[in-house]
Amino acid sequence: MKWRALNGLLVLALLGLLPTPVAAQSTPTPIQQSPARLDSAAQIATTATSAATLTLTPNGGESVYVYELDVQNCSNATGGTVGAVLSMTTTNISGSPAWTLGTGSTTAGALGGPGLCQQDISIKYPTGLRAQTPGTPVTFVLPTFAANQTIRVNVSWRSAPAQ
Amino acid sequence: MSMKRIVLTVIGLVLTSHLAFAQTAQVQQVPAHLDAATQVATSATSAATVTLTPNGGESVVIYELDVQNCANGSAVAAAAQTNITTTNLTGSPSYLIGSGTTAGACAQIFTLNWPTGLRAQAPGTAVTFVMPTFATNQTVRLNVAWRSAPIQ
Repeated sequence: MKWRALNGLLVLALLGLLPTPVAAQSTPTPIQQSPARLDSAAQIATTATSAATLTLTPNGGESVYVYELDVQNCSNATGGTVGAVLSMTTTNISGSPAWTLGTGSTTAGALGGPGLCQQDISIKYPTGLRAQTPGTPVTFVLPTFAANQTIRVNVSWRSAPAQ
Repeated sequence: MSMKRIVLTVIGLVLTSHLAFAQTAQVQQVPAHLDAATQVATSATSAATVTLTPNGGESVVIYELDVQNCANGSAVAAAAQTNITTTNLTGSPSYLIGSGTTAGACAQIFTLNWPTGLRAQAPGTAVTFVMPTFATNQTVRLNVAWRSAPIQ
C-alpha cells in the first residue's frame, strides 16, 4: 500500500502537479490604496473668449503653482482671417513667458483652414511652475481672436505655500 | 539501496528542481508605483459621456488625456468648432475640437499629462467627459487615464 502511494507521488511529481511554493511567491495585490498626492493639481482655469484674462488667485500668503497648460487654436467653417501673429501673455511668472498663436486661414485644407485646428499646445511642469510673487495672482491674457477663430486655454494649477 | 529509497530520492530531486525553477523566475521585481494610473476610460462615440466613477468616498485622479480627431474615407464638411466638456473638475475645463476636413486624415491629435495627478473637485463623485456631436464622417477618440484614490 505504502509502495503504491509512493509511486503515485512520483508520478504527480514528474507531471509537475505537486504543490510548490511558487504560488506563495507571487506578488500580493496591494490592499492599501495610495492616497492622491498632496501636490496634485486641484483646479483648472479655462476660457475660450477673445481678449479674456484668466486669473489664478492663490490662498492668502500662498503661491500659484502651474502644472499644465494646453491650448487649442481652431477655425470655424469659414476659417480664421489671415493676420499678424497673436500672443498669449502672462503676469507674475518670472520671465513673463508668452506663447505665439497663428490666426488661421480661409483656404480650404490649409493649416488652420476652415474646420481645422492649427495648434494643439500641451505643456507640463512635472514639479510645478511657481509664481514670482507669493500672495499675488498669476494671469494669462488671451489675444483678440481673428474673425472666425477660437482659442481655448486650460491651465491646471493649485495654491500652495512657497517653501 | 532499497527501491523505496530510490523512489524517495527521485521525488526529492523533482521537487528540488521545481524549487530551483521557481527561484530563477523570482528575479527581484520592482513594484509598480502605488500612484500609477490603473484604468483608461475611452470613447469614440458621438455625444457620448465618459464616466469615471471612484470607489466610495474616494476621488478620481486623472493622469493623462489624449484626443485623436479624424476623418473617415469621406471628407468632413468644415463646420464650427465643438467642445469636449467636463464635470466635477474645478473650473470645468473644456477642450476645443475642430471639425476636420480631409478624408482619411487626423487633423488634431493632442496629449495632456498631469504627472502628479489632477484631482476631482468633489470626492465620492464621478468625473465626466462629454463628447461633442461629431460632424458627418468625423470620429473623435478620447482616452483618459485615471485611478480612484483616497484624499489626504
